[in-house]
Amino acid sequence: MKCFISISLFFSVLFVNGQNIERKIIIENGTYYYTTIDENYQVATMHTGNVNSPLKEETALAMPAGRNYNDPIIPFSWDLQNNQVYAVNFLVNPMNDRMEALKRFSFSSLQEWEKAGSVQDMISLSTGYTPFAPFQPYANALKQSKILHNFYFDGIALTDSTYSMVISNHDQISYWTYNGKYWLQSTIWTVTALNYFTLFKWENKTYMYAWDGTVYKMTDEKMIPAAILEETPPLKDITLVINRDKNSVSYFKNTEFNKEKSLTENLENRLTNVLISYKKK
Amino acid sequence: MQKIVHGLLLAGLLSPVCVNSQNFTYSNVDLVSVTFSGGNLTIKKDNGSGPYSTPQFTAAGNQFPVAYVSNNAPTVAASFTIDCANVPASIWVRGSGSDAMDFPATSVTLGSPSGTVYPFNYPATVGSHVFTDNIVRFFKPFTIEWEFSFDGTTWYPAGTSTNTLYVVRDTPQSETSQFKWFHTVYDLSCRNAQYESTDTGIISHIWTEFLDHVVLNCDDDSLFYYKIMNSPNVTLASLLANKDAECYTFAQLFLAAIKIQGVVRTNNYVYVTPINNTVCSHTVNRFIVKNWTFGTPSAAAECPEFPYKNTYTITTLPPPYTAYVWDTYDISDAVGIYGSCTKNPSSYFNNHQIVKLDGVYYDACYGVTFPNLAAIEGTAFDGYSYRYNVGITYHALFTTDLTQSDLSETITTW
Repeated sequence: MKCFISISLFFSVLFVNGQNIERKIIIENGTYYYTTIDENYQVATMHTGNVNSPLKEETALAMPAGRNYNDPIIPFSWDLQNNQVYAVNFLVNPMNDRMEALKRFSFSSLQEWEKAGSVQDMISLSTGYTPFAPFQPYANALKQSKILHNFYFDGIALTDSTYSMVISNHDQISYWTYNGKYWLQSTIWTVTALNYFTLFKWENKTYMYAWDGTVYKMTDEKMIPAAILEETPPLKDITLVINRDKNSVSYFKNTEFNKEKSLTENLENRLTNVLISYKKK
Repeated sequence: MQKIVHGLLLAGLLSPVCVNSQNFTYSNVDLVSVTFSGGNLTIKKDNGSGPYSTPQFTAAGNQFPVAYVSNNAPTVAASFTIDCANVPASIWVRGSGSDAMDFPATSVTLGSPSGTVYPFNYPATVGSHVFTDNIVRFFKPFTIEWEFSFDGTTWYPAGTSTNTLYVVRDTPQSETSQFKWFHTVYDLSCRNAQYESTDTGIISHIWTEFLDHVVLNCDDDSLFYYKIMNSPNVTLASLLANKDAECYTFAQLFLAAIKIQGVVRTNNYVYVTPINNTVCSHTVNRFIVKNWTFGTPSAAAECPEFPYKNTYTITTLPPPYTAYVWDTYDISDAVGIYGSCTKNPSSYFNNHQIVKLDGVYYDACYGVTFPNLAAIEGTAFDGYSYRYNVGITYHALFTTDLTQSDLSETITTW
């Protein structure tokens, strides 16, 4: 039995100030990053701070991007790569063009909410932001069917110039990569996404943590089952932890954080010390 | 309740029991509260603070709404007090409600007094008949005239409870993160679909709420379409809480009013946007809804197909969000198609969301229907647009030639 990713198990539900963490926490250079969505206005906030400092000391940065509340929920698709924030701006707004939803902006350009302006201003900014690539995977999905059902997506940056995305609609899933100039589409697999999925990068390859706890390695030709976790909580019940300092990918069952404690303390206190147990298919 | 009971027997003057006292006033029997139960549906407050609690009626001021599915009878309990030094061990109580809904006479035992005030409770009792199966009903108010008696023969008023009561045709569709059983959803739905039983009858009657551009909530307050032109409210919950929102929410309100009756329609929520064709090396992804005033085109040399040009910085809708503000402009917004409670709502869009039921497109925020997408364009649009930015300045180019693009639709189930 080999370990593919280290999976840390926590037990409870993750909320910060009543808001769900969107998909994942990234830890890099001793700093954490996670996003939440405003419960009323769809706009994302990037939360960041030192992993060893109390969470209440975090910095909350306004993001010119967000996501809608339509059922079923597609959590905010975002990533951080070399000071660049990637986001799919899928909030509903009469000026937001979904075909221009793929945004990339400098992390250092983000401002705290007090300086960033009103929610309306941030939404306007988000809809006007020039996309870094056309949302070709979405356009292609619509070509297949104008009816969206079991429609989900997530995207991550692989390098400074490459981005990958998995998108599903009806009973099809496809993997896309953008090389800075154009999109390449993989084989289309006949798989029904029963809920959302989340991508993560491992050794510059794209992996998909699926709704049922199965982890797939995504290639142009295949969705390779890479890990079936011994305990397979639905993705909606967990949050991924992408720890680039430890070169690990973990998850914990959603829980309420103690803002008086650091992220490290919050996670350590809830660790079950159960590392990965998986069976290769 | 201040009336004095006359005709009581003089012989009762010396009786220790109040009912026989010459000066007995039945105002000393007070209705305290009324609680509905027996399968009544949850109703959530529009302000987002959760469901209404019980008792639904109190003398102190509660008049909360109640809802049942048709073919069910309401179950009602009530609490009273009688202020009298000498009382019998038990009292008869009955109720007579709207829709000839009777709550039969029941003998109840008085509780322990506080001074001379004795409590007594009419137990949870099923009404005399079910609400007619498969029929929507709207009782505003649903009243119950309560009476008491010492002998089961002679009855005296004991107060009136007043609640709004909704009867939905079938069990509502389950709540989702967006579809909630809000008070206004019941109210708008049952108010308009009163006595309806068929899907088509329910849909067509609920739709009448949207036809006159005055959509009202459960308190008869107006729900505005873009009271401020960049309203950030995009959910049913935010529309009802703030009474002002974008197009999405009116479509959701219409669908919610249908779903609360148990009517099922899939693929009912349509996202409309230009087809994103390319003109003059730019993607056409905006449209303008009537009316716009077109001046002298200044961009014919830049793009002959889109000769009108406006420019703006960051946003066209700066505070106080009541009008479009341009740095330069060839075209300007004018009053055109009314929105709900708004004469001149926002009208420069990338997308619009409407309802599609049985092949008909319902645009709830404007109160109009269309047989197809082309009809939307032909009836409501003044033109198409594309835009690009140079630094922080956006250049928006327009055409009145509606053949320059077309509409696409993306359909989901709300």
